[in-house]
Amino acid sequence: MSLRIFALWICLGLAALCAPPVSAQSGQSGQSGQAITITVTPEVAEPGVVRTIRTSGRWPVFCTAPGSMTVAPLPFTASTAGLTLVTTAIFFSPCPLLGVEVSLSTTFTPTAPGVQLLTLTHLGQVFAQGQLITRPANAARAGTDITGAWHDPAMPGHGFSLYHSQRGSDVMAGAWYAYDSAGKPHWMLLNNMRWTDQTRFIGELFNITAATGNCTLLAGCARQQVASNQVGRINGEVLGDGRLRLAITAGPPFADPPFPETLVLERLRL
Amino acid sequence: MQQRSYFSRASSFMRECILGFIVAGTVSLSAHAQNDLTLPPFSPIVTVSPVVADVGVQRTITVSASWPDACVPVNPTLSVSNIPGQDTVNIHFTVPQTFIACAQVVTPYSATFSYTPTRAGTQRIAVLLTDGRYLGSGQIITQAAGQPRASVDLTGVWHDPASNGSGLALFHSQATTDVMAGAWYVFDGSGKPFWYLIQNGRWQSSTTYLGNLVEVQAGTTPCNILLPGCARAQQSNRIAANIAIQILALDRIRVTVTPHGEVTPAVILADFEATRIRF
Repeated sequence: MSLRIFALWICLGLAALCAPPVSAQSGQSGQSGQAITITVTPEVAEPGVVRTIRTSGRWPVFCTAPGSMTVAPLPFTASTAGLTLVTTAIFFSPCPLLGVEVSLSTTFTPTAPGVQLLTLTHLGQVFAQGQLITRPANAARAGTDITGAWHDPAMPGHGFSLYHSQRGSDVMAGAWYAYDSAGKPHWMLLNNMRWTDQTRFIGELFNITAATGNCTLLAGCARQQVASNQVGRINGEVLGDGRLRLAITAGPPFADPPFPETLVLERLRL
Repeated sequence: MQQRSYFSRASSFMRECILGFIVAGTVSLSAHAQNDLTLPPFSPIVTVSPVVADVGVQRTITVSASWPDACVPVNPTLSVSNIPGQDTVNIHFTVPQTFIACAQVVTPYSATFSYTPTRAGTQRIAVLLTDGRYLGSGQIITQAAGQPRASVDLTGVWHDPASNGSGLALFHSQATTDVMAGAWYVFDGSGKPFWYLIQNGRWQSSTTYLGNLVEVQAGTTPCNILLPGCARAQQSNRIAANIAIQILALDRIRVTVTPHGEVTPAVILADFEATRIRF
């Protein structure tokens, strides 16, 4: 018996040593200092579609690891509470020194559209979080929240601010911080934006104007808008590496414009 | 760590339910303005008092929620996570196991704890059931001595209805570095859109941020004739003014713009309150 435990200890130690390194902060999980990720396949689907939820990574706690994982719903519907992935525990004695590599999966079939928080717990503690995105039938929903300040490192001083309520209404809006032909700062509004699939969206670009007036000691000041007119259209795509590609087409007319401006942007990390 | 829990008795609960039902049409379920006539939501509301404090200052954590029947979670306990690299305070409740049928009425429950953080930063508060199910979360913000941290994440679009079309776009990394930056989008004297960067700032207290309004300038390369502006790298920038942002409430700030440098007599270039736009 002791020989088998010793062999298990050796195997687990070797497995831990040979396992690929796992980043300390996962884009899927959103909680610092953890090494476990949660992925859902397919990433976005309609209600009624069976989804596979997988957790993987190196288990950081010595002496225990999850043996299996099940979805444990709460007795009420709350988008912020979402779904808990509850695990059973395997105890090791003696403990592996470097933790063990774990990969578990389960299935769940959502019945309504929305974004549900997925929380992986083990022995009563939160280990990782992800999300389960369910789109309405025949309508698209974003696979990524694109809220942030986006910029092209080759063009400092220029960029976009985007706000996206992905976990709620999925509505987006934003502004383009650009320059006019004289080099003066000139912003334009991004509005009427909607997703065409989980990575692509379209939107409209508006120029806003206010009445003339005096801005004491400043080049610009807060004023009420008096007019807005559409000056272009935006086609966006979230790229696989997390960057954002925007194609800006001037108009009108808005079909096949002659001079589309394409930008590949990175999210600013504060 | 002390612990005090309060669970409604059936009679007082029924009274609250009836009153809550009567006033449901007029009283909003505000997370920050609860009173005896409102029921908290199923997902817990986690509040910390004081919201921001120094290391070593005792804080009061309150968890309030409702449960779909009268067999509410009990025996709340507070513990600090032992997961390496994770800075989380766990609050656990136990769902009582009973053979007696639970009354099918939504029932509020709450718990209050005292907790004293030992280091600066933002700690997550996770509320769970002892069987591992996750109910919700909050955060506890602790500042190092002389290094204030913000009490609210100001990320969002802020506008003053009196100057609709102007506003602030702010990005704030409150949970980590506490750095904030953004833009003030306004209009120039001719009514054309104009914007300033908001940067070089720091928190003076948990509710007051002081930074600069930076005016940027690009080269004079023509844009597409059909567009009023285009992407270009900046060529120069200068500090145009100072900006103070004061947190008044979760979704309300006061913005004050003053000249950069010595100006006598003191001049206020802009002073307005702004509300966060909710999508």
